[in-house]
Amino acid sequence: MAQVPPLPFGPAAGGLPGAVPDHLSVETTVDQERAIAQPGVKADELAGAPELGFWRLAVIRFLHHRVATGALLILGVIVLAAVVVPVITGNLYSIQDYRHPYKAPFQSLQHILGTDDLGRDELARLLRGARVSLMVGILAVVGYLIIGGGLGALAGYYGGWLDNALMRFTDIIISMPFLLVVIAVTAATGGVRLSTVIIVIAATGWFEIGRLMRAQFLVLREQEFVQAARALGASNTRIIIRHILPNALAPIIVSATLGVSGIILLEAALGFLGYSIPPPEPSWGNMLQNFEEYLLSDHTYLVIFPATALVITALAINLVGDGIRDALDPRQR
Amino acid sequence: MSDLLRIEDLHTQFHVHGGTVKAVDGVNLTIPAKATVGLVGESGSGKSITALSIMRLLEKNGGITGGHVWFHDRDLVALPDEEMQEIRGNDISMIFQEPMTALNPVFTVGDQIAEAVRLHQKVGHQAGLDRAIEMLRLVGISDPKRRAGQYPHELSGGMRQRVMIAMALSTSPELLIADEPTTALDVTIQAQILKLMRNLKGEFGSAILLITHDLGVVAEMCDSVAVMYAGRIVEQASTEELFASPKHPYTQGLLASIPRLGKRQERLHVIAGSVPNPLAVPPGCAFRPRCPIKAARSDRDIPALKANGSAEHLVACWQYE
Repeated sequence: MAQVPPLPFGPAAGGLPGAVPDHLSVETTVDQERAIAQPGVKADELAGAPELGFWRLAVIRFLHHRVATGALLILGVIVLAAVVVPVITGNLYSIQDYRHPYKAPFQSLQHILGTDDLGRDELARLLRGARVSLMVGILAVVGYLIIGGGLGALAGYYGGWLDNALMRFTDIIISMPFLLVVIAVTAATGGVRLSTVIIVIAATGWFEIGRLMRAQFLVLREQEFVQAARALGASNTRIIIRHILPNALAPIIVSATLGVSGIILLEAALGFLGYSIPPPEPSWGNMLQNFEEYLLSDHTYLVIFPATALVITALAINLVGDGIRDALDPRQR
Repeated sequence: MSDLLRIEDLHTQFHVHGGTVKAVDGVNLTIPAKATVGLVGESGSGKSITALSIMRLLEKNGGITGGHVWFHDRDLVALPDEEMQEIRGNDISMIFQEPMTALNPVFTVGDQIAEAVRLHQKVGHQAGLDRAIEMLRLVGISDPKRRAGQYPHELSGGMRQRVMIAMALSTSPELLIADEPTTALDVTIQAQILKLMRNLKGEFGSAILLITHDLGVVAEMCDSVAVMYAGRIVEQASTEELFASPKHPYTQGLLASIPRLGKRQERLHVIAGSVPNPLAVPPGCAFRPRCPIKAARSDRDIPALKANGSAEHLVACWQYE
């Protein structure tokens, strides 16, 4: 952004004091108004700033936020490693080496982070587990956005009985005991499956985004530009998608980002209880399953690695979310 | 001149907490093609609701309960929603009071004007954008190509109102409804916008329904004026006629309360009392409690709008019966 030089005091540069400046007699533009507000600063010195749109300004603000940028970098490395490395190492995560179980970490290049009870490479398992965590996190949040975003938008825009019905439905969803639903669905569908986990999380967790979206639509539908769009002959669908939705997105993006970390932790908890992806497929949750046993043995690292991965990922996502929040709404800081 | 829009005995009501508000209570108004008609009245007199009723843009708690709005030979009140949507923005456009909030903050002004065009004409994005730039040039915005790529927050209030006008006229509508188009602007900009509207009216041949509470704006812009009070039109005449010989006590009061330069006055004239509570409008003439004349019968019956003097000068007051 353009630097604003300190204001010169005394008679304004350009134009005699007391004389009516000619910019008052013609249509004033923002540039001119700025020139009036800040005498001495030429309009074109400020002209660089205003060409930027909302989203580009938000990106600039985000990049100025050092912690958030750092967190985004770390998150990028985690995502990249989770996506790329397992492709190269193939099924290394499931190859059992009975000669070398419980190999301590940082001892050999072959198994940098050591091996687990069955001699499987811990690093390969961690990265494979990262895939599970990130996939569940992202897919379930997409579910949140589709269910919560859709229902919230409809409730907020149309109001009336539809709003009432949808909000009471939301109340029902909120009062569902999540764990019992997971156990019941798992039992009913005949086994532990990752798709079950994603669907159940999405189906029971969307209400926060739903309420947020509804609140946004309630406010925005009363805005004059919505009425102006209607006066131009825009249909309801068009007004919802093109005119209101882009204005409603900022808090939704923040909530969705923070939602990803919440879901990753939730998936880990389910994995710990044995209700997420079944072995031999690793997830950070099921790697922690023998928690107590390992924590009190010499193999503490088998607990520390997945736990650290979990905490770092969730923390990075939360920091990125906070950064996005600040970038999209600088007033909240 | 042929009539473009004819409002017949229009009734619009709102259901609010505590009862029903008759916001528009039997309005008759005719807008000839290519004419500028002013609709004046104080806040709450029902002038904006009349406009929104024409456009069928009322909130959910309100609705048209009677009457017709004839546009050419079609009754807008009875039109299906899809056909009404086709008319909005295409045949009848509207500009609003607040140029600061009437533009969508997340799109460039060029995009928004292009959208208005593309809602009603089958043209591509580029053609729409070209039309937008052309319109921006027509409404007197310098460097329209650059401005088209800017967002509303980068423009001043006057420029935004120009953009609104560009958007409303981009489809060459036959009728432009302007709801207090200059109220939110400062005086110099106001004059420019009014001048612009007059010029463009000549160019596009649109009729204008100008809603305002500013009699100065009416004097400057309108061919004829209708004065509204408590949901009804109390007087209607050509602009010169109305300013020269107002007949309704309310119009007389309004004109007397305009401060004039070069005329010494101890105190500005005021109309005593205030607008009746819309939930409890008195029986008979709604203006009676504030009326200096209080003609007979006005306490019981509502006076009808009748020709008085000439066929074009209509007034609703019992004193002329």
